[in-house]
Amino acid sequence: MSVIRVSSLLLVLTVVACASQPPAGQSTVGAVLPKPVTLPSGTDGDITPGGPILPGGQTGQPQPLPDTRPPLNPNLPKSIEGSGAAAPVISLVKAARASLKAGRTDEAGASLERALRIEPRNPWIWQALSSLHVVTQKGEQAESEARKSNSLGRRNPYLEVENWRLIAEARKLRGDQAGAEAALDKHQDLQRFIAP
Amino acid sequence: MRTHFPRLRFDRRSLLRYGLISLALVLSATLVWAAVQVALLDREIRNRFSSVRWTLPAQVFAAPQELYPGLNLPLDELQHELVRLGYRQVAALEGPGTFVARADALDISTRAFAFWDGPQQATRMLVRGGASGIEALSDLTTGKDLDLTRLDPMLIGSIYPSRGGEDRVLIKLGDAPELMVQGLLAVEDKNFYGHMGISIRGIARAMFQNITTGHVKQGASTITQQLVKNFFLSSERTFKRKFKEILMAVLLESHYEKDEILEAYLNEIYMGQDGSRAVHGFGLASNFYFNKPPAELKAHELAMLVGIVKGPSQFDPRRRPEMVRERRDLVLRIWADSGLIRPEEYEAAKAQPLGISGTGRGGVERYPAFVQLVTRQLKDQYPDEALTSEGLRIFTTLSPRVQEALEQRLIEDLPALEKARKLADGILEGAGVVTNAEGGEVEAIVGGRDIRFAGFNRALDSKRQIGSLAKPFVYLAALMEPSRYNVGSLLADEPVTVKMPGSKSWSPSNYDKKLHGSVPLYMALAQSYNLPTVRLGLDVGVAKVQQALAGAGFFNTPALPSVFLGALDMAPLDVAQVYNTLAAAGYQTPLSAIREVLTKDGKPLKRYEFKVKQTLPEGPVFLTTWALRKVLELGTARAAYNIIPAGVRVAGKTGTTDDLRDSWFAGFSADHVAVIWVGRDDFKPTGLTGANGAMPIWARLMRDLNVKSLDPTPPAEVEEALIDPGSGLVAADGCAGAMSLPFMAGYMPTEKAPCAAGLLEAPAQWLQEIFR
Repeated sequence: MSVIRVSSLLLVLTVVACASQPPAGQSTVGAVLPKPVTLPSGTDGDITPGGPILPGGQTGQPQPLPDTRPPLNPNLPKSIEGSGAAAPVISLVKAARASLKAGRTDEAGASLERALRIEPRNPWIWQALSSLHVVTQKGEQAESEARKSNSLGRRNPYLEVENWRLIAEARKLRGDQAGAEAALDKHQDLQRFIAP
Repeated sequence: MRTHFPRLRFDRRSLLRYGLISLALVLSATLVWAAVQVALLDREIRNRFSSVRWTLPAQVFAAPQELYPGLNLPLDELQHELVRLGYRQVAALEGPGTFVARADALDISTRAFAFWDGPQQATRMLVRGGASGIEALSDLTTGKDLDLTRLDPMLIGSIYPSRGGEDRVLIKLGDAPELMVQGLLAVEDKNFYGHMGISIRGIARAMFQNITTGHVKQGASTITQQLVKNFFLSSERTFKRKFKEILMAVLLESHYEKDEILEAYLNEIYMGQDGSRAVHGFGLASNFYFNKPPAELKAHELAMLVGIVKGPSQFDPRRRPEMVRERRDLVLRIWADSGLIRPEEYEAAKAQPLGISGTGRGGVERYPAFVQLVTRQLKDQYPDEALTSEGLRIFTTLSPRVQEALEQRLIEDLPALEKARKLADGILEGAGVVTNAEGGEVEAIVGGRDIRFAGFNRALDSKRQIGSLAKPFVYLAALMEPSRYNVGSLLADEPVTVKMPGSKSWSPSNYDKKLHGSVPLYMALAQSYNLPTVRLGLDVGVAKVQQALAGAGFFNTPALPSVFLGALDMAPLDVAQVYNTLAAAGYQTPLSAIREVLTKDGKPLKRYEFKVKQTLPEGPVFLTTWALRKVLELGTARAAYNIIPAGVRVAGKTGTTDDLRDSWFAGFSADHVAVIWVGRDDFKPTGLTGANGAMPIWARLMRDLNVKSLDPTPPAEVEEALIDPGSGLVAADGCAGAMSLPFMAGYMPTEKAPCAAGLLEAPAQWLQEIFR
């Protein structure tokens, strides 16, 4: 065992020992916190509510927001079948599609909820839930689910293109025509991105 | 005398005539009266028998255990789950409800179950896996791989009338084991299919004995009479009642088939008592005494059930096992003599112990706190009457595995805390809730340390101040204004006095009574400093904090600055709701304990569909969760990582109230949200903080549940940058002490800090990682 390894081990042990101390009265741990830059003022200061946050805490000015999200990644899977989802999840989503086609929306919902319990962060399941709720006319829920799918989708254009279509449908259901058109624009942009 | 004689003769004659007429009148009146009585009885019998024959309490089921390759359910826990469901461990698979355990595999013969969304067939399957979970599933008959299967759900309770409540699980005659039916008749009523409701010989014998002893003693009832007695009559022993019983039995037989009467008997007969709950029928008795369905009962178990029919209060298998065993053996003897079982079966059955289920309560009534929540959720939609008599089948979200893990923690850890803190035995109370993070399903509830007590449910009804559990919502409200705050913003940890109109001014202090200068926002939350929190809250405004809590699902936040430090009453379930919304990245799902309600015939009545709505912005919720991870990595709950494996990312918050009255911890992993409360019912101080009371219980629970690590990947609107924590500014490349912090995209600090701490030596890089 090298010297570095031994010293590493000692350091780790020290860290563990530190971590097991009781929290009361501890102000800082490790090297993360700086020493206080100002000493406490009087113990009974008469400070007005909403007092200032120290200038050190200033944050950047809001800038005109370019799309700072990572670029769309066209190499991501095009459907749940190619996404590496677990076999039970794929069969449940397929079962849900079949139920939905046959008009058995309750069964479709139950299958998707089972799938979600297995892979709660699978964006394809969230998308399938959204399309179910567009069919059952639950606009608000459908939009939330499509948004969640987008958020979990890691910039997958194949997911997003359908999610924006669903968001447009969901907004139409709620009578938000302008919102629906904006969503449809995004949907069309994405369509052009996928098949220019 | 002479003159009187003829008159007397005349009088005698007319008296006789009048007498005869009166007698005829009385007789006819009696006959009419009797006919009316019989007609009334007849109507009563037919009404009762043809409409709802039994009051059927709603049956409450746990969520079924899903099995699939990749499930992180260790095989030994699966085995435990099977035992809970009443599966028997055997050397080679027998019928459904048996399993064979090997080192790296289980053979399971599963039971069929009619789920509303598709029946699950009984399957003989092979489950391969180990300590980390299930690796593969296959069908033992066909050899084919299985994607997904679900076990039959556990019956966890029933909702029956609170007073003298009859509970039963319906059994159809065709589904009852042959030996149960024939064995019952052999013991109770050999001539059942031959008589007309009563046994003349039996009655004659009984009458003789009753007359000789002077009071009604001998029963001598046929199955039909016993049913009538159970159905309509009190248990008093009078000639009048006996007469009524005989009459009703004959009437019943004249209207209904023998099989209908027998089936009614199997479901109606009184089989035992469990507190205020009366156990009726063989279906529930099978569950109550042996924790398995009737189809799986063995000869010695069936014999015991048939034996106790004679008098369940007297022959109580749990209180008088010796007496019941004698009775059981007598039943077995009768069966052997009448050829129902072979001599070798008789010998084998007689050698068996009673085999009463170890839990003492069968599968039912194990989780009263959870059933209380279910009842409450249902009461808004169904009248009491429907719940206690219509036989509804309620499928809930309870996970028996999670529930028992939570129970185990409170049962073991509260006494340990009392011992360690030299508190009186039994003085501490506790409550806990576990939900699944994305679905908002309540998986487990404990309402007090007396786990089986169906009384005051602290998880639902004990509304106490939440202390620092409220802080994340103050920080969230601030982080929702990215142009003003980020996780690195420096907050002044300095005294603050809040002047409130019409009351005394309020000067909070830190828990450690110290001041820490200026601290980064995330650190103020991680260390749960009061002063920066109050200052931040005042700066953001109470209204914004109220909005953040409302977005998370709590709507009764008072508009007072004291809410920043948690002067806010919530039950553990309320806390679970607001933390669940954080765990689900700002998508609120109202917590639910029910998935479906079916009619007694299995037809869907109502589905409690998964509901979700985005109520909080994802980016700020991610930043708050990031800071809540720091609570465990370096803040007030860092001792948690002495218990939870280091690689598992979890987030949470300690909560302590004034004078150490309440000790809270709430937090989540990728899959579970859990809330623990510890305190005293009399509101006296416990001497416990959130960090040394509730937190270790929570950490052990998360460890026991083998939870999944939080996904550290930020959402699209969050990016990371290296920051110099001393200034909150962007660190120059290679600065020592710089740490990576997440920011809302577009709102990163632009100014660069001078490299104050000097350039970083390469070998120390990994050390920085550890401290983070």
